[in-house]
Amino acid sequence: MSTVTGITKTMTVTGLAVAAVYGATRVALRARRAWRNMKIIQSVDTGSVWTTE
Amino acid sequence: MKFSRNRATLRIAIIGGGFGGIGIGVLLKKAGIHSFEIFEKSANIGGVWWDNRYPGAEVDTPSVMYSYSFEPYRWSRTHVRQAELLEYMEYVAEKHDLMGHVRLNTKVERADWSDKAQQYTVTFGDGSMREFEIVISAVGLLSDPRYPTWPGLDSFEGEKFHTSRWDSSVDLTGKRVAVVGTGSTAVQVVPNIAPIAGKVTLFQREPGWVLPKGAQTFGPAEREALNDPIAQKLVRWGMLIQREKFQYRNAAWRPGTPENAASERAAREYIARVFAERPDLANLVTPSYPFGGKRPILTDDFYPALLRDNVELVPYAVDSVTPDGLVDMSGTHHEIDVLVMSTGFKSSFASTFDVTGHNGIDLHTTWAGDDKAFLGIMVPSFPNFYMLYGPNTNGGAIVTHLEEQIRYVVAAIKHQMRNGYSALYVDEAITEAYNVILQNRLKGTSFDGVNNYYASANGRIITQWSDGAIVYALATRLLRRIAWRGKRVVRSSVKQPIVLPVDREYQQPDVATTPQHADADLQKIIQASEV
Repeated sequence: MSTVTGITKTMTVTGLAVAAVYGATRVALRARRAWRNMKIIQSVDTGSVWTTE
Repeated sequence: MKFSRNRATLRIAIIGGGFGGIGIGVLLKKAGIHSFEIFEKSANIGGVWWDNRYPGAEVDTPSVMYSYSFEPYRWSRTHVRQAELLEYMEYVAEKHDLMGHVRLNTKVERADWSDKAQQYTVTFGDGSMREFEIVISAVGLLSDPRYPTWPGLDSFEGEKFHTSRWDSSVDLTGKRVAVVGTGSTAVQVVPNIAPIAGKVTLFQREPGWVLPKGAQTFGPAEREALNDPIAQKLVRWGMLIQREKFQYRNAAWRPGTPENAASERAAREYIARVFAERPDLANLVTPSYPFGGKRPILTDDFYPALLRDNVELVPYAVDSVTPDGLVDMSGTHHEIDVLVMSTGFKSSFASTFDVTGHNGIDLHTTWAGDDKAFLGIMVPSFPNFYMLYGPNTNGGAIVTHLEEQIRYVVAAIKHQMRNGYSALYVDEAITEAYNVILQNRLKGTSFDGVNNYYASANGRIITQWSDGAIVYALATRLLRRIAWRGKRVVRSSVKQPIVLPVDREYQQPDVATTPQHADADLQKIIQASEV
């Protein structure tokens, strides 16, 4: 394997790994924000599970 | 699958511009189908939320659930009032560019299927007629007011109106107002007119089970959080799952179940708490039938309003009307200035217009009061006709049910277009089997034997679904393909069975130039195929 090919492969793997970590972090942060917002909305407890329509 | 704009498509008439009509308009557009028109008899969209503008009109279901899952909103309250719901619907219609498809002040009188032409002729209130291949009823269940037939009603000399046709020009200040009925509407009206009226006399034929609604106003933090669509969906799903244990097999409406017992206990505790010092009233408002026999009533301010000095609860139905008042069933005459009829709605489906199907049979004659359909959506012998919020679909999360029905109808239309069917039916045997199973699952519920709008005159439960929102969603998705039957009519003079210009800005065609697929176009049915 030539040096150039090795560097290219290493950069590709590194790039993919960084992208994966970045993407996973973004998803995790979004999920955490959604979860927190859900808890805020749910904090207004109506005390009723009823729907009657 | 999205349909391209130049693909052959079908003309679709949607009757009703409420939650159903607007919702299906949005999802048809998302599916790439633009050849639809929404006919609304009123001067605006909104359906029941346009009609019901009485004081205190408010939704009973949390707004996060009583809204389209695809269109979250920044609600001001847990249970919003009529004006905000109307605002929401206008927002949805404008955002999805639907108003160009809406025909206001246009009442549909009837839709008649032609076996030969394979299309419906829709007749409007002004006598004009148009042809559509598909008709969708989105008029809902509780849209046609039920007016009482008391002797002497016409002789009453004061103002009188139904709650769903509220006359806001009538000033109730200091007046003696009679409210007849103690259902979900009356319990919102009474607390809101009592502070201004001189006296409110409430006529109660039979009390309903009442539970506190717990309605609250969202603060700035909650409203900010509501901006997060994912969070709002999570809340919605959480509520749905939480409610399932009450609704699967109608647990909360089945005497003897822990859910039914807990609900009745909570309602009795609420009565005891509010009327601790008024045992006479506590006695009058306690029902004698099991919890769930009538639609449970959710309200925070009705019971406290009954404690006001200017509110009188009359535990009798109305017997007759005099020029200046009402006579109750005990024979007592009550002098009043204004009569408010909170007497509910006709519980029949597609009730505001007539439909005839295969061989000219009439829908309402076929039903003979025992309304039934496959999943509440399709009726055998009525090709290309769909109902939203049809028979046996009520109970629980109505908009969630409605969305499932809308997805079903959009899938059916796509299936029809994809296969070139001129008519899509539902199988009669499958529909019968479905309804037998459904009625069996409804047996033993509190609905039986109680005076409510759930049952037909024959005692058959025609409005209620049996198993909660999740089972309904699964049923609409899994059962549809086995029940659909397609028929293909090919017109020798037309290459495509039905070809119409379709574009994003689909406009109401000029009636004079509307393509008329006259009988002459149809030579013969050359192929009938089963799905």
